[in-house]
Amino acid sequence: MIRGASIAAAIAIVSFAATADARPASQGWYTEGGAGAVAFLPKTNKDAALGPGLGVRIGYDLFSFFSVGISLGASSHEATVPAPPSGEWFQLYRGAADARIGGRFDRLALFIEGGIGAAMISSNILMKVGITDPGQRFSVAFQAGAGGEYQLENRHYAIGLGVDGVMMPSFKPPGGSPAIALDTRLYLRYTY
Amino acid sequence: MSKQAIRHLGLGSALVVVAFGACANDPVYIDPDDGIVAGLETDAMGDPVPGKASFLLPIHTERASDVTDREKLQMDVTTKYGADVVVPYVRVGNLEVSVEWTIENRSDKDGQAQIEINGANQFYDYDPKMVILSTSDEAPKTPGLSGDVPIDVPAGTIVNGLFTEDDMRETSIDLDQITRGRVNPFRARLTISKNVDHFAQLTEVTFVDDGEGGMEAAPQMETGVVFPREAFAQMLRFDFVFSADQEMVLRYDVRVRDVRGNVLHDKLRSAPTAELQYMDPYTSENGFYAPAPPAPGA
Repeated sequence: MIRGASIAAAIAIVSFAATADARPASQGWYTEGGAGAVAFLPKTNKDAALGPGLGVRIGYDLFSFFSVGISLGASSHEATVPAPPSGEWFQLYRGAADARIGGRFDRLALFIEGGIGAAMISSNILMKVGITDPGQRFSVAFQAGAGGEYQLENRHYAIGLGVDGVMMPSFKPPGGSPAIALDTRLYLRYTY
Repeated sequence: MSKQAIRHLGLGSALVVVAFGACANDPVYIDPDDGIVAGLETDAMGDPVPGKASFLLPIHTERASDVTDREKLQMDVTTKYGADVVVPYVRVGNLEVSVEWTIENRSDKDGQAQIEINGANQFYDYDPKMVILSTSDEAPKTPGLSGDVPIDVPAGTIVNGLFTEDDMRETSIDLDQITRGRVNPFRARLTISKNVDHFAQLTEVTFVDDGEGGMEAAPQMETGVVFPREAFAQMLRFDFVFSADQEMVLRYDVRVRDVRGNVLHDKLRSAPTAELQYMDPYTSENGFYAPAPPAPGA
């Protein structure tokens, strides 16, 4: 059902995008850099707090409505595991290859995206609550999300807001579903 | 792709390398199996019996490259300081250890607790009860390596605290000073040595009349053997002695940064026994440090 809705949304975006009146925007290689917040969804959020995140993305517009890219992200979270320890933080690093589909509505562009990659936790602090196993630091990461961009008058620049859900099957609290992190970011895009 | 794009890609890649390089020093957290309970039992004198537990770091077996590095360092140290200075496998600075703890007072009365940390390195174990420095009844007991600070714990509450990396580095150096350096434990404990670049070995402890009918440790001389910082031994086993005057439980967590990068086993306490350098229970190469006590009846 989710897949069906995503496809329908993608078709709608592409179909209704009015490129004729769109503000001029460069197309081709682009980079994005952004900052925001990353939150874990239940049950993992009991042991890992909301934290600041940074992300970069390098991509290429194959068509006006479709691009591929590589994204890297890092976020820092306070581990809220039962004490001791207390007040300790860990970092979550992510990297993925992804694809983005979308369309322009004058100054605005909307997109949906999805990808696959890897995630790494910087310490074993979540092992205390069983989310990671001994020696385990990496997980496959599946990510999917959506966002919007505002094209600035300079054709190279746009600012955007994106939200991605990242599922990491290897990081799993006992009796719960795999850890899912919600990455919300405000970013600046530069298209060469 | 333009040169500018390539430059940006290069810069991005460099940032990623830097970010992941920083991970080499990330901490790991090692939980003991259980907490330590104290204040439930009393001895024949009516004093509370302390709870005790030992914690051994999961050190990876020494690899061929580690042996090569150690032997090279040993040659350098021998050239500069003589053959009496043995370079250990795990040295001070290879690991940065801190211990976070909580104490829960389970009783309905306010109480007081103390945490004392002793332990062992590659060469010696240290237990202050085995180091007798005076025969006087009024002499203070031989100190532990760290802790021994009274902690007020109100009834039904939990308090927490931390032995910092600095504290634990000092503890490791004090242990080496007391054992291989034969430094009086009081002196080792009361001097700050965490930043020293060497210490001198002293002569064996001897005893003189304390003027009150007992014996006390006499001043010691330097033997000429000097231990440089690169040969300081890291403490590998931590012995916790938990005293409380009410029923309390001590829970702790050992946080370690593997600065050398390959000392701790990745699987920590779940590692296969064959891949660990030291087995639990662990005894050092020379056992407990116990200098000759004062002559009986002297």
